Amino acid sequence: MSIEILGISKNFGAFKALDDVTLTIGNGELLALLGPSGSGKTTLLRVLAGLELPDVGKVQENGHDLTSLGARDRNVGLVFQHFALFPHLDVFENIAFSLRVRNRPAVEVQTRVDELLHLVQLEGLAHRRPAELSGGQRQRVALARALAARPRVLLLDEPFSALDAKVRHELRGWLRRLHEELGTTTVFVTHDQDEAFELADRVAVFHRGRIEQLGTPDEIYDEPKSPFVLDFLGHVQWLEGLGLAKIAVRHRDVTLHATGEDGWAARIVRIHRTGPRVRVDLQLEDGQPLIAALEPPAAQGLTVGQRVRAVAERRYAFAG
Amino acid sequence: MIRILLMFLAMAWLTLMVLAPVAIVLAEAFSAGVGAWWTAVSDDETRTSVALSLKVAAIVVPCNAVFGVAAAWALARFRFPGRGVLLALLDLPLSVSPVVSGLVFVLLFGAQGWFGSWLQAHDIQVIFAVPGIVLATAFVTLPMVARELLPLLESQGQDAELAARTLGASGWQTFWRVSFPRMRGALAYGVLLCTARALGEFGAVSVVSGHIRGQTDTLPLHVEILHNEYRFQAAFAAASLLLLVGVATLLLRRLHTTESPH
Amino acid sequence: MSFWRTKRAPAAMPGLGLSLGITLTWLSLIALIPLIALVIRAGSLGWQGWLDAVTGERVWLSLRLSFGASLIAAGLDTLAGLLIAWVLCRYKLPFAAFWDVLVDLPFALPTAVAGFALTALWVPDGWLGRMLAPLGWKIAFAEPGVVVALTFIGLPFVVRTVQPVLQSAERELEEAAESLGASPSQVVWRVVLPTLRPALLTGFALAFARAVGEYGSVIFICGNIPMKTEITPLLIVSRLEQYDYAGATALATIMLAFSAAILALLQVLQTGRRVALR
Repeated sequence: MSIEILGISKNFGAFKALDDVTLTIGNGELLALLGPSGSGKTTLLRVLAGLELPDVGKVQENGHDLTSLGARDRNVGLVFQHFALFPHLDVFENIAFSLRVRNRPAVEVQTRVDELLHLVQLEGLAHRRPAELSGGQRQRVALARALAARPRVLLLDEPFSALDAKVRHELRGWLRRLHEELGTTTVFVTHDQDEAFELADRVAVFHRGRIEQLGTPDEIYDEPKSPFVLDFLGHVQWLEGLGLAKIAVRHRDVTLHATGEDGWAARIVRIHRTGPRVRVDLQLEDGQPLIAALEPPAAQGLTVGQRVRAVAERRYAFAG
Repeated sequence: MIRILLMFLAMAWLTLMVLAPVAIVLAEAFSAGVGAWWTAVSDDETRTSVALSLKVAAIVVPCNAVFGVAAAWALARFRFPGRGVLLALLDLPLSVSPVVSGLVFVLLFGAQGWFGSWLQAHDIQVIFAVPGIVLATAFVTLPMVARELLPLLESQGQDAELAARTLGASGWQTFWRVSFPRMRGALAYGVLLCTARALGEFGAVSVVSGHIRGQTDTLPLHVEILHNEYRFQAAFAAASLLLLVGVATLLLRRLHTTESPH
Repeated sequence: MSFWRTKRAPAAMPGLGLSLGITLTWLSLIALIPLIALVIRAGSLGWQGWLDAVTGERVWLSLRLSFGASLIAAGLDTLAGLLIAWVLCRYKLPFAAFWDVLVDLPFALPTAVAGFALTALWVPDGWLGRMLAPLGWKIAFAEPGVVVALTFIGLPFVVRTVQPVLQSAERELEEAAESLGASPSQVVWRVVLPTLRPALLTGFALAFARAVGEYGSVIFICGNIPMKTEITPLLIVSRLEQYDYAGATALATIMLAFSAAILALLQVLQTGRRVALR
């Protein structure tokens, strides 16, 4: 079951939220929509969910037009950024909601909800209210609720942004395993590149309502197609006047050498440890700053004030 | 379709149940022309009643404003045993029947009241006189300033005050330089509400006033007297003054909430 | 070594003593002592005396009217208030700001003015009474008049409690329900109304409490017919006017107890709401 998004545009007043977006989502794929806020990714998710009607363009499923189908009839599972759990219903009834509104028999509801409670590892909490759950538990209830009616596609809007760092990491791994287990086509929105790269089969990078680049995490990391993509992935330094065009160097591509003629002459301004790597702040001869993120052994013996040669293993330059 | 029906129903309800009573006050007040309206509101008795209402408000409102600031400060800035009870007591004057609010003062200071004989011996008149009206009005409007300030102070938290303290400010300096400027808007609005209510209070005042013409009839009581004498146009004209105060309060409130969305 | 003996830092926030002192003094003088005096005075009647003062047909009829009419009025306010809050929050009403201000008018209008404006409106030859007179419906100077006046003053309580909840209620909840397959009516019945229930209850209780104690806006329109359109506050006043202080005091204790009970109920409702929203 593939979903085709064909030439979709959506304006809010003068603001172009989506500008001629075309994208095909493969059956069983886990796709990330990555971009800064206001880049259109959430709008696209809402169009897929049937909560927004595009101004132009179509959403199709295996050639069937879904565009004018309302959210109610699309059978998509949607997980909201802040989960939107029903505060007056307990965990069980939250998960059962989509079955209740379809008037499924009580026995079926019981079986299905038990199954989902097991799947999201919340068996003991069926009769808690959402207010009595932790953030990670709410997230899992929201997911179970979205899955209850066996949706054809699962949509997640910034699914981890409301959680603290540790829970976020645990849930990421869990979601990936869940996806492998269920095989449901899944689209999720995120502004966190690590999250997109860790989870997704393919990533669509959004910028100003357009897809800037679409590809596997490897393709996007290794071959960023535009300065925006490179910049958005972060840890990059733009340098001028060292050749014809403006070039970019990733921090981790910089190596330092005590001697030699390669690269640029630089002086070490500051050395400090950032997690697994050592960050070395440099100043080039013309005053431009450069940062090198080194493996700890490579930073051994460096001192502040030392003059070194900074070599960029890879440089990025973009036409225009 | 449903949307239009609901909108129509809502507007119809507001028109018939809320707008119509207001409209009829104005329509009747000016039914005999602006001249007749002016004659009615500039009549001696009306003017005396307006003066009395203003006088009562001028005594009550400052007292309740000081009380409001103190109560909001104590309740928002400190946790102490009995705080919950105090919070509940603060709401009591607003939820008790105005008739009861008046009655309690009659029981204390009336001829048969606790202090009745003592007051009579010293020739002090409280009930059926201005002091009684002041007391009843103070009771009814007691928490109005405090209730405007309390949520504001709660939401502001005490970081700014604590910062001022660490910078060496004394208690009063902290209050006047940090706290007071930040509560000015809400305080002004609370004072406004309190004033409007003090001018318009009817039930409690009616119980303690004794309706002595030219002496203890406030503007709302004067409206009642005129009404009972079937001088409807004059009654509506006097009522239009009170309506004006109410509408002005609402419009100022609108300004206040659009300026500071706390 | 005074450092070790100090158990707590001195209070950083100044003014507890002064502010609490002012608060307690003024509150006691103006409200607490008078209310306690009322209770003591009622106590001095003795159980039998109190019972005698609050029984009898006239008292019973006035209580029935006060509480009955207030219940009906608060019920009407809850329906109309929900409707108005919904329309104000969710639809683009023409002149929305005007209607929004209008909602607060019953708060701002002195009760005496409201009272005889409503009377003028609903008497048989008034603007609205005229339309009902041919049907044989009598509003002013009859029980329905009491309900009309109490409905008038109670409306803003419901609208102003429901409106902020509706406004802050995430549209997301409704969108979530819709994407889970709920029809529009299922969204309303299963999601919107249940989440509004605490606010509706609070608004109802506020309107009811206000209506039971109301005096000014009712006395003109009800016509003061003893045993028929006499509400309890009016009966208290007429007893006072006949210097029946004992009778007035006994009735006042019922009103006071009722107010205290409603305040306690509201406290419970509000804590419940805070827990639900957490």
